[in-house]
Parts: sequence; structure tokens; C-alpha cells
Amino acid sequence: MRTAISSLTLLRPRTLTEALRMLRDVPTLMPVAGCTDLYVNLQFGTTRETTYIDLWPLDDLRVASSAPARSHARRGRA
Amino acid sequence: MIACRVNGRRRQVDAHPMKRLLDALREDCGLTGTKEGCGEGECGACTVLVDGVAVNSCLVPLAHVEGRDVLTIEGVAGGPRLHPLQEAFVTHVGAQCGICTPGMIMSALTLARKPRRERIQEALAGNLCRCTGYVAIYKAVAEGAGRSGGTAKAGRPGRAGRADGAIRGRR
Repeated sequence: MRTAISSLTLLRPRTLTEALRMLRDVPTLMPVAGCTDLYVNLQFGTTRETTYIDLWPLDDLRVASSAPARSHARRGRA
Repeated sequence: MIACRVNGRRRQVDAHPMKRLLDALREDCGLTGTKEGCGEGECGACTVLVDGVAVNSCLVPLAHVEGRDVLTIEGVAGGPRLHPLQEAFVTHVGAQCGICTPGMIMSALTLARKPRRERIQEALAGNLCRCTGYVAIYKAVAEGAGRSGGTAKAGRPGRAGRADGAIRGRR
């Protein structure tokens, strides 16, 4: 892999509130959940971001639903 | 430190949370049976099961297996005897260079008992072989899965399987 993992930082909030606070305080944070694109880019060394925020473990973001006029994430487990 | 279960054994992996699961398995756990092919999720050589779901371990950060069950090719046999799928690969000569074989077997573990040919092709669609060809591999999987199907939770993604683009298999 062309990108050195040691140069990257992964923030791991435990709650949605904590995640939102981190995103507010550090606007350059790159959110990640599934990492397909990210790891392909890391493999090629084409990613500029070095600090990421891991949204994967947040149960509040586990379910997404949509309605004709709106789209929102729903609380709770799937 | 990332806590998970690898091949049924609890592990505390002391590695960077963004390290690829593939590298953590090979370098930190000493499990070199999982191979790196393309390193970008195209070839399936690095396939392992996370909570019973086939994933490309080159696209999964170590942090995402915290608290989860990881099964690698080393944990398939579960003893001195080969797993029926492994035996079938030997019998039908389903390997030539062998780089793709661990991934093929891990993907085949997601199949139910006595799978139809179309289902085998679908399950292995993300596993590329560039030397044996697929006929012997499909024969091996048909025989091996026929004797052992249902090892993994086929088609039932666990928490790790809901949104991660690295998830392999059923499309």
C-alpha cells in the first residue's frame, strides 16, 4: 500500500452527539463507514485526508429511510 | 488495541485501527493463509468471514472487526482433518498456483448445502482465478458444499454486513 497507515488518525466516537461535536470542532474530518473507496485510494496513494472519523459503530446511523419529501436517518437498530 | 475473535479464539490485536484487516491477520496474528491479490477489492483472494459474511479483508479497517468473529482459512478445518471443501479442492485439483484458493473456500463457506451451479457461480463471482480456470473449482465447491453447506450464515449479514461496501457474495 502506497499510503503509510501510521500517518493516519482515526477518531472513534461512541455516540452520535460525540461524532457531531468532533465534526463541528474539526471541519476537515473525513467521515468513514464502509471503507471501500477509501482503501482503494490509500492503496494508490491518492488520498489527501489524514484524519478520519469512524461512523461505523454508531447505532443511531444504522437505519436510513426515505419519504417523498424528505430523507432522514432513524434512531434505533435495524 | 482491538479486541475480536479470530478463528474462535479471543484476540487483542495491538495495531493501528486503520490497518487493513488483511495486514493485521498476516502480520499481527501470524495467519498468512489469507492472501493479498490486487489489494483493491477486485480479486477476492483476501476473503475472510466477519460474523459469517464474506468480506474483502483488504478493504476493511481493523477497527471494524472490534467485537466481531473473524474466520480465516486457518480456522476452517477446526482440527487435523481437512474441511470437506478443502478435501474437494484437492480431489478435483481446484488449485494451481493457489493464491486464490483460500478466498474461494471462504466464499464457498457462505453457500447452503447442495447449492445449484448458478448459486455457486454467484457466490464466487468476486473471486478471480487466473490459472486453473473455474470448471474444477465449481466441481470442488459443488462436492464440498454438498457435504458441508451452511457453515456460514449465508445471506444473513451481521452488523458488519449492513452497509460496508467491502461485503462480498450475494448481490
